[in-house]
Amino acid sequence: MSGDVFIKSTKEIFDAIVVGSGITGGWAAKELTERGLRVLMVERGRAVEHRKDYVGEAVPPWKLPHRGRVDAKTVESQHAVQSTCYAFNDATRHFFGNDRDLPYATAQGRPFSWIRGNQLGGKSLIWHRQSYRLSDLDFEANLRDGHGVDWPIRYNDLKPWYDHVERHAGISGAMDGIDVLPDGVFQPPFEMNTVEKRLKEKIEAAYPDIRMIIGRCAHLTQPTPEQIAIGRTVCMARNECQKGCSFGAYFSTQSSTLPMALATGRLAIATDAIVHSVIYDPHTNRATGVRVIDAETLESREYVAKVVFLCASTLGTTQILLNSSSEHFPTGLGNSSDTLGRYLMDHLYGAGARGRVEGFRDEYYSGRRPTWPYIPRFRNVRERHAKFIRGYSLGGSGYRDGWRSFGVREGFGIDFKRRIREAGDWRFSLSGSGEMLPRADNTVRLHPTLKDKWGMPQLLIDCSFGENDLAMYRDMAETSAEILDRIGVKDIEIERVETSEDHPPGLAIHEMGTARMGRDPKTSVLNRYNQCHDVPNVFVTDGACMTSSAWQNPSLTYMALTARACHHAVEQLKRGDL
Amino acid sequence: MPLATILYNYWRICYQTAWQGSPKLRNRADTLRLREFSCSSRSTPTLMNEPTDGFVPDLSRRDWIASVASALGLSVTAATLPMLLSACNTPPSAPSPAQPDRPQPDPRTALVEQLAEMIIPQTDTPGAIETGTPAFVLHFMRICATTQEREKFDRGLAKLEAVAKTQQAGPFTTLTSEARTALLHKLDRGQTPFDAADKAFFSLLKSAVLLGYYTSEAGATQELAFLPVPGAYRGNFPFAQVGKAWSLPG
Repeated sequence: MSGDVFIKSTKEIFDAIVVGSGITGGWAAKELTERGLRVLMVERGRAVEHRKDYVGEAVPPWKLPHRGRVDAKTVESQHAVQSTCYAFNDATRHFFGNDRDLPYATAQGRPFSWIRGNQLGGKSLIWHRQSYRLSDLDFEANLRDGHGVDWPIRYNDLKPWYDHVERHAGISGAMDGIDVLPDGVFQPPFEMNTVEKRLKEKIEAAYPDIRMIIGRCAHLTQPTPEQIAIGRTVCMARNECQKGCSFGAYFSTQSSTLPMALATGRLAIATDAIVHSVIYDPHTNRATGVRVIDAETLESREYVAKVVFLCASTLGTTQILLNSSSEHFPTGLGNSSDTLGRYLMDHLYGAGARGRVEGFRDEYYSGRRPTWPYIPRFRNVRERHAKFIRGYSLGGSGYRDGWRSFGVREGFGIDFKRRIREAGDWRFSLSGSGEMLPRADNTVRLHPTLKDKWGMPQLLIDCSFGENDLAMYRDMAETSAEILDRIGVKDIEIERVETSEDHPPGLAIHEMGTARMGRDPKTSVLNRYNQCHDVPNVFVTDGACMTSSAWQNPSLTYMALTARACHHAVEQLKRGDL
Repeated sequence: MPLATILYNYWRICYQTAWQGSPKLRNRADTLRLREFSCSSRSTPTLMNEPTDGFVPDLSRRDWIASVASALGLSVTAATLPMLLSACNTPPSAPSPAQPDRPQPDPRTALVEQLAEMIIPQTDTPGAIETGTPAFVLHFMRICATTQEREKFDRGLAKLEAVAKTQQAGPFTTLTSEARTALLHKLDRGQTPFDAADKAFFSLLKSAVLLGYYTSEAGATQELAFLPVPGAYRGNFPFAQVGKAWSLPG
C-alpha cells in the first residue's frame, strides 16, 4: 500500500463510497474499482497491513508471557464481551474490538454478544472461513411457511455470482452432489482422518437421509495463477488463522480483495473514520455522501460520492442508517417500511454431543486442518419434523485428546506424563448450526440517551430465541447424542442450549437481517439488488440484507450478493439512473 | 524423506534466518514464480485500544517474515531487505507495556514446586521445575485466573497444607515421598479427607501445570512433537511415524 492511498480530508467527488473494509467492503472495493469506478473505502478502525501487522503470528507459545491467555484485568476492563469468542486469545486480541470503547445496551434479561473486528480488513481477518451456498430450499423458505417476507431472488439469480466469488476467494471442497448444499467452484478438499472416514461410513449406513462431507472452507489447496500472482499460496495447515496468515492462504480483505482493488489505482482509503450518517438530499432523493467522525481528533468531515455502499457489518450498518435521520426519514434513512432494525437473527450454535471412540490407537494425523466434517441439513427436507420448522447442520470432528484434556483426567507423575506423550483417546463430536426464524420483535434501535465516546448513539439490542429456535436447539443436542450412540461412540456428553444465557444470540457472529431484502417497499428496506427501495443510490450488502438466516455459514452468500449488487450499481450508473 | 528431516526443515523455515534460503525453498520459489513482496513501510497508526499487557514480538518475527518471503519465493536482495526489516522494526500494534511491579516472592513457591514436579516429573526430558512451570502457575493464578479460580486455588492449597499438618507429620514439603504420593492420590480422587471441591482444585492445578509445561520450550519440543508449519494436513498418519503426541493443539 503506497502512502497516497490513505487520505483524511479531500474535496474529491468519488464515484462510490464503501463503508467498511471486511468481507463485503473488500469485495465492493474490488468489484467497483475493477469496473472503472473511483472508490473511497471508509474504515472506522486502524490500518492493518498484510504480514507486517500480524504480530501474533509465528510466535512460539513459550514466547507468550501468559502462554496465550489474556490477563484477567485486561479481559474484565476491555474485552468482557470479545473474550467470549472462541478465537480470542493473546495472539489475536488486537483484531477484536475494545468493549470499553464500543459500548452497547441490551434489553433486561436478554443478553446479546456483539463481536467486533474494527480494523482494516474487519472480521475477514478473524472469520471461521466455512463457505457454503444457499439453495432454493432456503430462498423459498419464508414464502413456504410464512415467516418473514419472500426473498426477492432465487438460487439461479445468485449462482453465477457464487461462481465468481469462489473462483477468486478460493474455496476448498468436494463435489458432493447434495441438493440442499449446491456444489461450486472448488479447489481440492481437505481429507478426513481415519476415524472420521470410518464413522462417516457408519453414519451414512445407519441414516439414509444423512451425508457427512468434509467442510468447505476459504483456504487455498491448489492456488490458481491469479491467486499466486497476488502473493497467496497453499494452506500450511497451521490452523492459527485468526492471528493473520502471511501465506495469504485463507481469504481475507488483505490477502485477496484489497490487492486487486489497489492494483487498479482507483482506490483511496480513509481509516480511523467513523461514519456518523449518510447525507441525504431530499431534492434529488439521493445520498450525497457520508459524514464521519475522526476516531482520534473527533473532528467531523464529509466525503462525497455518487453511490454509497454500506458494508459496515450488520449492526454497524444498521446503526449508521438509524442515525441518518432527516425530516424526510425521521426514523432512519430508507426506513419508510419500519423494518429497519427489526428481524435481527443469528444462528443457533452451541448444542451438540461428543464422546470417546474405542480403538485406533495406532492412527494419528499430521497438521492442523482448518475445516471439519460437516453434515448438511437433513431436518424438514423430505419429511416434516413435528416440533419445529427449518433445519440445521452438524459440524463434526474426530481427534485424539491432547494435553489440554488431561487436566480433568485422574493421575499424575511418570505414568501420567507418559500417557500424555502417547496421545489420548480418540473422540468424536457433533455440534449444530441452526436456522433462527426472523421475528419483528427481535430489534436493534438507537438508545434514547446513551452515547459512545465519539458521540454516536449506542445501539439497544433486544433479541431472544423463540419457541421454534429452542425446539430446534433441543433436537440438535438429542439427535447428535443419538447419532453418536448409534455408531458406537462411548461416554457421550450432551451440550444443551436451553436459554439465551447458555449461548447468547450474537455469539455465532452471524448477526443479520436488520435491513432485509424484499419485493415490497412497504415490508422491506432493500430490493433484489440490495438497493434501498427509498433511496436508490444507497446499497447494503453486508449481513443486514438477509431476508432469512438459512442454516449455512453466511459469508460466502454476502460475497456473492455484494458482487452482484456492484455489477448492478455500475450498470445503473452507466445508464445515468443513479 | 525421514520425518526427522521434514521436522528439521520446517524448523528452519520457521525459526531460523532464511536470508540464504534453503534449496528446498528455492524450489518452491521456482514453482510459485512470485515476483514481488507487497510490504511497504507505512508507519503503524496509533491504536484505539490501550492494552495493559501483551506479548513482546521479538526478533523471531523478523526471521519469520523473511522466511515466509523466502517460502513464497520472494527474492531477498539488498534492495528488498531494508523493506522487509522495516516491517519488523515498527512498533507492534499491541505494544508491550512497562513491566508490571515485581511481586513479593510467593510463600507457597516451595509447595507449588513440589506439586508441579509430582504432576510432571523429570524423566528423559525435563520436568516441571526445570521448565519454570511452578513460577508460571503462580503467575497464571495471579494474572490470568478469574477471581473464582484464584479462590479455588488458594483454598485448595491451604486445605492440602492443613491436612498434611493435622494428619501427617508437618508441612506437605517435609513429608516422605511415599506419604506425599499417598496424599496426592486421595486428593486426585476426592477421597477422605478430601472432597469434590478439593478434587476440582487439583484439576485446576493440573490444568495450569500442563499449560505451563507443554507450552514451555522443552515441554513443547522435547517431550512432545512440535510442528509449527505442518505444510499440509494428512489424515492417515501412523502414530508410530511421529511416536509422540503433537504439542500444538489440533
